[in-house]
Amino acid sequence: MAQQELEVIEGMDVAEKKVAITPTREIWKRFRRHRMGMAGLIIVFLIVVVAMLAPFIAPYDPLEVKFEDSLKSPSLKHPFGTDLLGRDVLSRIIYGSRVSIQVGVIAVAISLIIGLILGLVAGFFGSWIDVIIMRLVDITYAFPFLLFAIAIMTILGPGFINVFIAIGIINWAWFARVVRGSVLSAREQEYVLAARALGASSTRIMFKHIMPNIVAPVIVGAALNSGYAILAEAALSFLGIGVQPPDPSWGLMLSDARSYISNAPWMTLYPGLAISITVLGFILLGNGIRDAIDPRLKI
Amino acid sequence: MARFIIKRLSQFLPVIIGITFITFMLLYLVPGDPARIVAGRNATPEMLKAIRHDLGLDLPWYQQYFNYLWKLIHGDFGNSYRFRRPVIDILLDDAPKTARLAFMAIVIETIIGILAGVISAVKKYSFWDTLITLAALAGTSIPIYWLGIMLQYFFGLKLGLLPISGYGGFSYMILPSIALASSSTALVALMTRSSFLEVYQQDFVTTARAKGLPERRVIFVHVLRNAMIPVITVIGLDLASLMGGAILTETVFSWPGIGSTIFQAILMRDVPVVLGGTLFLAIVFVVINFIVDIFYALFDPRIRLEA
Repeated sequence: MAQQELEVIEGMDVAEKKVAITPTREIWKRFRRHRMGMAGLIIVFLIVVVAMLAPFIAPYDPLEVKFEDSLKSPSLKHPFGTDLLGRDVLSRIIYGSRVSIQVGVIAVAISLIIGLILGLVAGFFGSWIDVIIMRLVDITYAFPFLLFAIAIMTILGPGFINVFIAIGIINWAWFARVVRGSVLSAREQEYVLAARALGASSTRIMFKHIMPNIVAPVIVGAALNSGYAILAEAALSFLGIGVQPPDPSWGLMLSDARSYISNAPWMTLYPGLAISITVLGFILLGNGIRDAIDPRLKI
Repeated sequence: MARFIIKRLSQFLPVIIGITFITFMLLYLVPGDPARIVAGRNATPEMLKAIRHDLGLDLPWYQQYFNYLWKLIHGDFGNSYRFRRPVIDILLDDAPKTARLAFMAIVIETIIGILAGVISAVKKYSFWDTLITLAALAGTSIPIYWLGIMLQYFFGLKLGLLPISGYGGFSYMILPSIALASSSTALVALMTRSSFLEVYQQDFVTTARAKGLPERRVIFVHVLRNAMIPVITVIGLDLASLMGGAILTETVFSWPGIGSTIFQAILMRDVPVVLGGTLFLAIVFVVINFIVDIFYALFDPRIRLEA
């Protein structure tokens, strides 16, 4: 109780200094106190920095083949060891973060855009349009995610861009469902009714009153989905139908490492850790934002 | 109840037709001429034309789709390019092996996931809660094939306790099913925790306690029973990720199920097997969910009324 009072007083103090307490600021304040969320933010931030600065940080060229350094165990010279072709595992992991971050951003952006549009249309117009879009969502959900991605990749053929497309055209269903749900629940709110009674146009109601309700779940979903998209890319590359050699992708590195698990376990250990930590970072970040915005949000 | 079943069927059938349409379109769009693959390299143009006619490849796409659907209804999923035998026979040979792994994984995720979730919820904000929550979040982030390879390394290579890979009895199933169950177990634990905490605050729980029931009875009978509904949904839906995961775990552990068959087919560009296998697993998944839904409605009248 005393704690709460203290916060109120602090809040008044801030108000006196003419700093407005905006909702965004409130959310950031709550997020900062969320330890796991902050941990996620720091992990994601660091990985983005590593991906951007890869050429400056990586100690070696990730593609440089040196047969005399084949399968060297971790040492000062090669902290994470080398692979069969004598390539530095640490440098490959650093460059591999570029693939993962791009998948996390681009693949999710594709699915977000498709899902947002179809979800808005379904939720706002209802009737038969809604039925058709929701059936499409159900059909997309009927396939096990990885299997569907594999099926699409067999048609598109392996490659970096195709991974984005495959993940993007499966994941849209998730966004569509969440956006539609938010639109439907927002439409029933009293303030929307009030706005309509005051004579606000459909467009105004859509953008002014309904859109803000969609932002929260979409941001949370984007963070979580980035994690799962990265996991999916790694799995596709591991199976040999994702990113192709010699590009350094973490999943591809794991697939190369499989045959050398007994004499070069470091080739398996580090890329796997890199994937796990990155995905965990995005999931923690997503959960943290969700808790800061609205802990009751069901995502 | 009949109304509920009819309503569910009206959602179920379009989904099944939609899945078949998507696999058909993928098959139709795949680069390469199936007639050439069947005929072999030395086929003359006349032979190709004849084969195309026999396979119905010279028909317009919608007629080809209806033929495809007609064959599916009769259990014909096409023929494997590589094995020259019906895809459905290959899948049915493999299915029991995949089912064995999936069953073990479900047992693991149900027991360990629910137990961990309950401990986490009952000891909310304690050391154990933090540990379990962190472990569960890590569990959803770890690639299952990587976990599989690491398990092979430690328990197979280093400690020599369990067979590294291959098909066999119980000891062969332990590592692959742990790997397969890992992310699902984590999800079940997280779901149990949040669902348990939600039910825990409700009035009937306070009533049960006020009646003087021992805490153990309150937790295991009153709370757990009500908290299980969303958890069971998660376990049901999870079959999809188990089937996707089967490709990875079966490949890593050389377990000869549907997953490794699909993986081999990807490598060999045996398209009918890849798409037939995908379709087969998707149908299995949708049918299981349909049955789960019906069971739900049988046990919980609220769901029946909502429909």
